Amino acid sequence: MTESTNWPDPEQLPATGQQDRAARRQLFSAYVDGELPGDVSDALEQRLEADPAFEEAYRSYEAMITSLRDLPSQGADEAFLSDVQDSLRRRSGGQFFGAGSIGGSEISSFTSQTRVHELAAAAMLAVMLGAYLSFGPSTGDLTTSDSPRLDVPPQSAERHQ
Amino acid sequence: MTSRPDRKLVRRLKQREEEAFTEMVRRYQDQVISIIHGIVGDREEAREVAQEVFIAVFKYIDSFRGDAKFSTWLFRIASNRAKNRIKYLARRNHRQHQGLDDTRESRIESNPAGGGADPRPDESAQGRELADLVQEGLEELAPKYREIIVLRDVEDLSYADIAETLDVAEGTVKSRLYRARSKLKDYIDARYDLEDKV
Repeated sequence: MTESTNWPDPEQLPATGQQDRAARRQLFSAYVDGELPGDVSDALEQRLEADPAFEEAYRSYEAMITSLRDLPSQGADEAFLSDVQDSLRRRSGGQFFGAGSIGGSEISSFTSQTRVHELAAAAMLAVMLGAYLSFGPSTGDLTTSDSPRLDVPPQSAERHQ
Repeated sequence: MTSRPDRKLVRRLKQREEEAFTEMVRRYQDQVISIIHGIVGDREEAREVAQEVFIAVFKYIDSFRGDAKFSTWLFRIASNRAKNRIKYLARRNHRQHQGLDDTRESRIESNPAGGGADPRPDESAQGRELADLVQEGLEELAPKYREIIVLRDVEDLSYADIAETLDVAEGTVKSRLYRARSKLKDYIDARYDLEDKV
C-alpha cells in the first residue's frame, strides 16, 4: 500500500476491464491535474513504465483530456462589445452609452435609487435650514431655558459698574 | 481575494462608469462566452446569455462584497444563468414535444453506461476524429458535468477557483470532475466500441 490510503494503490489495479475501472479513472483524473500525492504519483508512474497495457489505458484517458483542452475557443466576436453596450443603452433608457431620457428601465430605476436618497436628504436639510432661519435667531430661542444666552454679552453688567 | 486590477475595476463599476463597463466586457467576454457556450451548447444562446450576465453584473455590482475573486463571482453568475437557460429551453422543448423524453439533460444521466441511443451507421466512430466525439459527448452530458469540465479543462480554472465559482467544497470539485470525465469517457468508448475500456 502507498502512504496515502485515500487513494487506490496503482500497483494493485488491473490494467483493463470493468473491474476497478472507477478506481483507475479516479487516479488518472487526479494525475492529469497534478492532484495526486507525491507517493501515489510515483507509484502510478512506475506502473505506467512497467505495464504497457496500463500505459495504453492511461494514454487513452489522457487523449480525451487533451482533446478537451484543445477544443476551439468560443470567445466573443468583434461585434459583441458594441452589442452589449447597445443592450445596456436600451435597458437603461439611454442613461448609459447614449443621450436619452432616464426612466422606466431596470437599470435607471436601480441606479436612481441612490439619487432619490440624495435628493431626499438634500430636501430634509433644506427644510431644517428654512425652519432654523424662520424660527431660529430672529424670532425665537431654540435653546432650552437652562442654556446660556449666547447672543447676550455675559459681561454686560460689568459695564454699568 | 480579488486582484488589484479587478478591485479598481469594481470600484469604478460601483460608480457606474461606462468605461469600467466596457473594460469589464473586454476583459472577460471571451471566458464568459466560452463558459456559457460550454454549458448551453449553442453560440447564439451563449451570446445572448452573456449580454444578460454583463448587464446583471453592472446592475448588481453593489452586492459584490469582495470576499471572493471578482472573476469567480462573474463566472458564477454566468454559470447560473447558463443553467437557467438550459432549463428554460428544456421546458420549451418539452412543451413542444410533449411525450418525448428528449431533453438533453436526461440522456446520459439516465444511462450510466454511455448515454444516448446507438449511433447510426453514418455516425459511426470509425474514422472520426476524437475531437468531434469529445465535443459531441460534452454536449450530451448533464449541465452540472458539462459545467465542471468546461471550467477545468476548457477554461483551465484551478480547483480552488472552480470551488468558489460553484460555491462548493474542493472535494466536491474533484469528485464531480472525476464523474464528469468518466461519463464522457463512457460516451467516447461506447462509440469507439473498444474491447478493453479504460
